[in-house]
Amino acid sequence: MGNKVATFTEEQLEDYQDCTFFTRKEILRIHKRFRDMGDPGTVPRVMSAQDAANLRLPLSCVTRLPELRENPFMERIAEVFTKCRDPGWSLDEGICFEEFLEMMSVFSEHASRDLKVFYAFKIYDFDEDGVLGLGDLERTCRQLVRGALSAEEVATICRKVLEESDIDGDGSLSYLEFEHVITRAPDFLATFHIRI
Amino acid sequence: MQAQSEKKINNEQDSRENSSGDPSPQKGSSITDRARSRGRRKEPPGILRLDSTSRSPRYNIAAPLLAPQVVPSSPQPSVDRLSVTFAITDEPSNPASREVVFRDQKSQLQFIIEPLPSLVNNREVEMRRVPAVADCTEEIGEEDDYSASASAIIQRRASLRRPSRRKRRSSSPFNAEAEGGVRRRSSAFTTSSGETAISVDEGGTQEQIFENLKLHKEVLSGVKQQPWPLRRKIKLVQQAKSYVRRHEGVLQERLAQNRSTRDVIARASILFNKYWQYFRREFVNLQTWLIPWELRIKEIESHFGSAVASYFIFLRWLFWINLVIAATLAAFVAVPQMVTADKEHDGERKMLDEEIEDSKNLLTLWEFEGVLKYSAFFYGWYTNRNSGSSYNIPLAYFLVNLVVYIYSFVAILRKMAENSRMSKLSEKEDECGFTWKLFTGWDFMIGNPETAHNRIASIVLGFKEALLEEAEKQKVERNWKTVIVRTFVNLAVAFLLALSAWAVVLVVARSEEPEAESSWWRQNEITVVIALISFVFPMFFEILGIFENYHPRKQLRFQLARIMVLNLLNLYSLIFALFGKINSMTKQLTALRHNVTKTLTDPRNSTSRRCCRVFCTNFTMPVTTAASLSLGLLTTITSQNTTAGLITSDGTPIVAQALTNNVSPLTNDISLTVPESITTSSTPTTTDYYDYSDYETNDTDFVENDEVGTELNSTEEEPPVTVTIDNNEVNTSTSTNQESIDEILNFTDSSTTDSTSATYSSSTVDQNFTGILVDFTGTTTSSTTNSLPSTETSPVSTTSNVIDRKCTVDEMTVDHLGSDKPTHKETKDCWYQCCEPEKKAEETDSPVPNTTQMDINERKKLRRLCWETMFGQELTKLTVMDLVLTVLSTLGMDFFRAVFVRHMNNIWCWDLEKQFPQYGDFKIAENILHLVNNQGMVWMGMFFSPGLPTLNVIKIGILMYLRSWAVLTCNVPHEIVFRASRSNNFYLALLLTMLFLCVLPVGYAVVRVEPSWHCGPFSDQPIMYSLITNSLKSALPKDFAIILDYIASPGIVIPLIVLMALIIYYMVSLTGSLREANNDLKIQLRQERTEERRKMFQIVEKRQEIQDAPFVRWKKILPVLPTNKTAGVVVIEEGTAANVTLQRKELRKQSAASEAGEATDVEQDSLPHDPGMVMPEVVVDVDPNNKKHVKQIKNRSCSSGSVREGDSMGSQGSDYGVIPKIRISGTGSATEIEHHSSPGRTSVTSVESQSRAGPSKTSSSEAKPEAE
Repeated sequence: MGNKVATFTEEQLEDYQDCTFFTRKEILRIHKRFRDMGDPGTVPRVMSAQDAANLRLPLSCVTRLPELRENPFMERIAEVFTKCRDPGWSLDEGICFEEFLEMMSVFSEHASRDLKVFYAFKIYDFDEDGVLGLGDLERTCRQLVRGALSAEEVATICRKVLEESDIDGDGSLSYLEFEHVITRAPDFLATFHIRI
Repeated sequence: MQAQSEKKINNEQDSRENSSGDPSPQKGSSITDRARSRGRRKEPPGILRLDSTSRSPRYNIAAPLLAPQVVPSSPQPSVDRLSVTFAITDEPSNPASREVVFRDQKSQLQFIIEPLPSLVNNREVEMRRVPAVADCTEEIGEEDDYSASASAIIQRRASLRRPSRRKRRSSSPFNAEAEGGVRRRSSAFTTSSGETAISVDEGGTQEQIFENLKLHKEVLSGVKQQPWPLRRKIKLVQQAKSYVRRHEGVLQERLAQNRSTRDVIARASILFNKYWQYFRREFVNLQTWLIPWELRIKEIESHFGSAVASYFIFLRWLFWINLVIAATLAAFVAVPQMVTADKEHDGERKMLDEEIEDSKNLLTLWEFEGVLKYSAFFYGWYTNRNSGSSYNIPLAYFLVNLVVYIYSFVAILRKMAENSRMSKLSEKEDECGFTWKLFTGWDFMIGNPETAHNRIASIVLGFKEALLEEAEKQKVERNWKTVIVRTFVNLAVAFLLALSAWAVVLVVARSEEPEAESSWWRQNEITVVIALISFVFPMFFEILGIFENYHPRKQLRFQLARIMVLNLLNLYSLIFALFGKINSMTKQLTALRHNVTKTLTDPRNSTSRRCCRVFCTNFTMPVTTAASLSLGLLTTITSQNTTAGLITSDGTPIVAQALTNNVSPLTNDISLTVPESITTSSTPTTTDYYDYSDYETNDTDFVENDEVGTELNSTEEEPPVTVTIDNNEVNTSTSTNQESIDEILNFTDSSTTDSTSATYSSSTVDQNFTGILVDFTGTTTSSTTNSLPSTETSPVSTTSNVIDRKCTVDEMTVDHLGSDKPTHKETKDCWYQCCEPEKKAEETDSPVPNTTQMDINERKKLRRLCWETMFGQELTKLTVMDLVLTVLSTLGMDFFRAVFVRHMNNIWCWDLEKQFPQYGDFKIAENILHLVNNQGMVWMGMFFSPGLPTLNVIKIGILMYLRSWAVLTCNVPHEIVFRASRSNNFYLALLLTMLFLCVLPVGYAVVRVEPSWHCGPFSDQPIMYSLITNSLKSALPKDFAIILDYIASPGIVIPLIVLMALIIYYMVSLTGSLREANNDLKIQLRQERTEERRKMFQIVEKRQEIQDAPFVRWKKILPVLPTNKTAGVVVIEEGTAANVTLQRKELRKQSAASEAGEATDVEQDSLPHDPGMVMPEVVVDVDPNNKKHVKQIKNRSCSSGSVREGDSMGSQGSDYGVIPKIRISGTGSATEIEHHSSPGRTSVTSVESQSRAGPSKTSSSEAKPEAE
C-alpha cells in the first residue's frame, strides 16, 4: 500500500508512525487536513522534514478545523501543543505540521489514558503554574458554559469541584489529584478525543 | 477515590523508601558500586567524585544540555534530579558553567515541580546516567538526551507492562510503577551497564548487544507514549533506529562468521524479527484501512458527538460479529453441503417439479419458500447422510452452531471486559459530579455548531440541576397526583405488554388454521403483527412516559426497561406459541408417516397378502427390525415361511445381515413358547412390531395408527418384494387376532418351513413352532448382540390369545392384547437395554422412509411440516419485516417529516420546526434496543436457518447506511445526552442478556424436541442432541463412554452446580468485604487529611516561634563543613516531586513568613503514621566563591539533635530514617555520597531560600557531610 504521491519520504512516514498512534494512511489524511487548514498554497504538497518542523501556520488557522472550531478550549489547545517545544527551536507563533500531528495523536483513539490526562491537565492549566487553581477552574468553567451561568454559580461550581477533588486541601488541584479524579470519570476517554 | 490517592501516596513512600531508605542494598550502593566499578574498568571520571583532572571536558557540554532535556518530562514520575547532580559533579572546575547549571537546575526544578507532582525514581536517574557516561565518546549531548529519554520510556514501559501482563486494571500507572519498578529495575541496570560495555569496546559480547538492541527497540515502541514534542521523539527514534541498524549489522556480521547453531538461530531471529515488525506494521495499516465506515462515523461524531456515534460503533461491532458468524456457518456448513449435495438421496429435501415453477416468484421468495426454502439457507435442506466418510455434515452442523454460539458469548464478554478496563468504574455515579462535568463535559469531537450549542445547553442544564440538587438536597414531594398518574401509567404499560403477548399467541394460533394460507395477509400475519408491535408500542410507552413526569434520565431508563421487556415478551410468546405449533406439527407428522406406511403397503398388498396369510397361519410374528434390511428380513421370513405352504416365490435373497428379527410364533395349539427378541429400528421414532398374524385384516385395520411410529422402508436389495415394508406397525384388534389365530390354526400343520433357515444364517426360525424357541432366541441374541430377547415360554391359551406387542421408541408402550402381560414387562426392559446401541450402530445408513410414492398432496403437506424450517422461516421473515419497517419508518418519520417541516414552515401557521412536528431526533437508546432485539432474533433463528446471519450482515449494512444517512440529513440530536462510554457496557449487557435468553429456546429444541423425520440433518435422531452423544460414544472407546455417562449423570452435575453456587457465594461475599474495606480506607484517608492539616498549622506556628533561630543554628552547623571546599556538589536525591510541589505551595502560602535564611520545615508527606516514607533531601550547594551561600547539609540523625531537628522532630517524632552522608573530599578530588539510612523515615524537608534571586538558591535538607 504505497502512497503514490510522495508527500513524505518513506523514512519520515516510518518515523511518524513510530512516534504517533497513526497509521500511514491517517498521517496522510492529517496532512491533508493540515493543508486544508492553511490558506491554499501555503502548505506544499511535498513535505520535507524541514517543512514539517518549521513551516508554521498561524494559530487562527487552527480554528478552521471543524472539530476545533466549536471547542471552547480551542485556543488553549493550540497553545499547549505549540508551546511545549524544545527550547532552541524557533519561537514563532503558529503551528507546524509536526505539532499538529502530535496534537492529533494525543487526541486519537489509541492514545493512552495517561497521555490524555497529561495533556488535559496542561490544557486546563491556563496560567501554567502546574496546578489547577481556582482561577484555572473558573476560567475553564466560564469557557465551557459560554456565559450561561452567573458568576456566582461559576464560583459555586469551582468550589464544589475543589471540595470533591482537592485531596490535600491546598485550594488547587495538583496533577495527581487531577489524574485521580479524571481517570475515574466515565466519559473522559470517550470525550477527550478527536477523530481524524 | 481517596483510597486510591492514599495508595498512591503509599507507593510514593515505598518508592522513596526503596530508593533512599536503605542505601546499602539497592540504590545507594549501586550508584557507588557502579561508579567504582566503572572507575576500575576504564578510569572514567567518577561520577560523584570531584575529579576534575580525569574528567573529560565534554561533560561541560553535556551538563547544560542535560538540564533542559529533563524539563518536559513525562507524566510519569520521572523527575530526575540526580541527573542534575551528575551534571554538576562533572564540572567542578568551571564555575561559570556551574552557575549555568545551577540556574538551569533551579528552573528545571521549578519546572518539574509544576507539571509533575509525581514520584521520583532516582533509579531511573541512575540508568540515565550510566549510558551518558559510557557513551561519552560519542556526541554527548545527543546521547544524554537520548539516554534520558530512553530511560524514561523504559521506565514507563516497565510500569505499563506489568498490569497488562496481569490483566489487571492498574488503578494508576504510578502504583504499578512503584511496585513493579523495583523488580524490573535490576534488568534495566544490566541493560544499561551492558550498553556501557558496548560502547566502551566494540567487542562487547553478543548478549550485551542483544540486550541493547532490545533496549532500543523498547524505546522505539514506547516512544509514542511520551508526552514530548514530536521533534524530540523523532530525534530519539532516529537515534534508536540508527543504533539498531548499526549494531544489528555488526551483530549479523559477527554471527555470519560463526557457524554455531546458536548463532545461526540468533541471526535468523534477528532477520525474522525485522520482517515480522515490518509485516506487523503493514498489517496494522491494512487493518485500519479495512475498518468500514470510519469516515462516516467520524462525520457523525463531529456532528452529533460521541453518544450518537456510539450507536454506530456498536452497529459496526455487531456487523463484525455477524460477519464472523456468517462466514463460519457458510464455510463449514453450507458450502460442504452444497458441494456434496446428492440429489438422489435428498428425499423431501429437494424441490418438487411442481414447486419449481413458481419457486422464484417474488411472493414465494418473500415467504422464504421455493428456492430459498430448499437451499442452504434453512435447516430442512441439509442432509442427514454422512456424505463420504470424511465430512460428517450432521455433526458439522451441530458443532459449528455450537461454536458460533460460544463465539458470540466470548465476543461479548471480551468486549465488555475491554470496556470496563478502559474506564475505571466508579461506585457511585455522582461521586465527583462537578469535577467530571467540568472536565469531561465537553465532547471534543463535536464540530457542528448546532450540536455544540446543544452540548453547552446540556452542560449548563447539568450544572444547574446539580446546583439545585445541592441546594435542596432532599426535597421529595410526594404528590398524590403524580403517584396516581404513575400508577395508571404502569398499569397501562402492563396492559400493553399483556396485549402484545396475547396478540402474538393469537396470530400463531391462527396460522395453524386450515385457511392460514388463504391470503397474503394470513401468511404474513405473524411477521407483520410482531414487527408492528415492536414498532408501535415503544411510541406508546414514550407517550405514557411523558405523563409520569420523571426526571429525563430516569424517564429514559424506564423507557428502555419497558421496551426491553416488550421485546423479550414478544420473542418469548412467539417462541412458546411456535413450540405449541411444533407440537401439533409433530403429531401431524407422525400421522403422516403412518399414512405413508399405509399407502405404500397398499400396492403391495397382493403379494404380501398371500405371504401374510400363510404367515399368519403359521404364526404371528412380531418383528422388529433394526435397520432398513429388517424389513427385507421380515418379508422374507414371511415369504419363506410361507413357501412351504402356499406361496411360490419368495426365495428372495435376503440381506442376511444379522438382524434380529423377532419371531414370536404363536402357535396356538402346539407350543406356547413365545420368544421375543426385540430389536430396535434405526429410525428414531419407532420400533415396530410387525404383526403379520393377519395380513388380511390389515386392509381394514391398518389404518388405525395410534401407534407411534410406522415406518416404511424400501430396501432396494430385494427385487422380488417390490417395496418392502420395513417396520410396520399394526395394532390389531383382538378380534382380528382371533381371526388370524383361526387361520393360524389352520395353518399350523403345514406351516413349518425350512426355507428361512437358509437366509437366516443364524437366526433360523426354528421350524418347529412348537419347538424350542429358546434356541431361536438364542440365535437372535447372537446375531445382534443388542437385542436381548426376552424369551419366555408362556402357555398361551390357544386360540384366543394373540400376542401383540408394540414398541415405541420413546415410551415403549407395550400394548398387549394377549394373555401374558409379564412378558411385556420384560420386553420393555429388554428394549430399553438394547435398542440404543443398536440404533447407533445402524444409524448411518438407515434411510428415511421413501416417500416418493406418496400422493402429491400428501407430500406437499408433509413438506410444510418441517417445523425446524418453519421456525427458521418465521424468524427470518421477522428479520426482514423488521428491516422493511425500519426503512419505512425512517423514511416516513424522519425524512418526509423533515422535508415537510423544512419546506412548509414558511407557509404554515405555526412554527413547524419549533413546535409540533419538529425534526425527528435520533433516539439512541431505542435504536440500540432495536439492534439488540434484532440480534436476538438472529441468534434464535440461527440454528434453524444457517443463512440468517448472512442475511443479518446485509441488513446491518443497510441499516448502517440508512441510519447514517438519516442522521446526517434529517435528524437533530437528542436533547437528553445518553452517556456514551458507560452505556457502551450497558448495550453489551443488554446484548448478553438477549443472547442468553435466545439460546434457551434453541437449547430446548435441541435437547428435547423430536426433529422431523423427513428433513434436516438430524432427521434420523430421536432428538438432535443424541447425534452428539452417539458419535461421541462411537468415537471413544467403551471405557470413556462409561466415564462420560458418569460425568453427565446427576452424580457429577449436581455437585458441580453446588460448587458453582458456592463459588458465586464466595465471590459475592468477597465483593462485599472489599467494598467495606474500600469504605474504611476512604474514611481513614479523610481522617488523615484532617490530621495533616492540623499538623501543618502546628508547623507553621512552630516555625514562627523559631524564626530567628536559624542563623544561630546555621552557625552551629557550619563549622562542620570543610572550609576549603571548592567543589560544589548538589545532590538532590530521592525526594519526590510531589514533595517539592508541596513545598512550593507551602512556600507560596507563607511567603510572608519566609524571610532570608528562614528554614521551612514542612512536614509534607501526609500520612505520618506510615513507616515507609523516607524522604531525605540532600542539597549540597557548594559555591567556592561564596561560602555564605553554601548551605550545608544538615546532619540529621536520630542521635544528633540540632535545634532545627528538634523542631521538626517535635512535629514529626522520630520519623526520619535516612541519614545521607556526603563526604566531600577536601582536596576536591572526589565526592562521595553515601546514604545511611536507618529504618524509619524522614519526612522533614527544609527548604531554605536564602536569597530568592540568588544564583544558587537551593533547598537544603538533611545530609551529613563529612569531610574526608
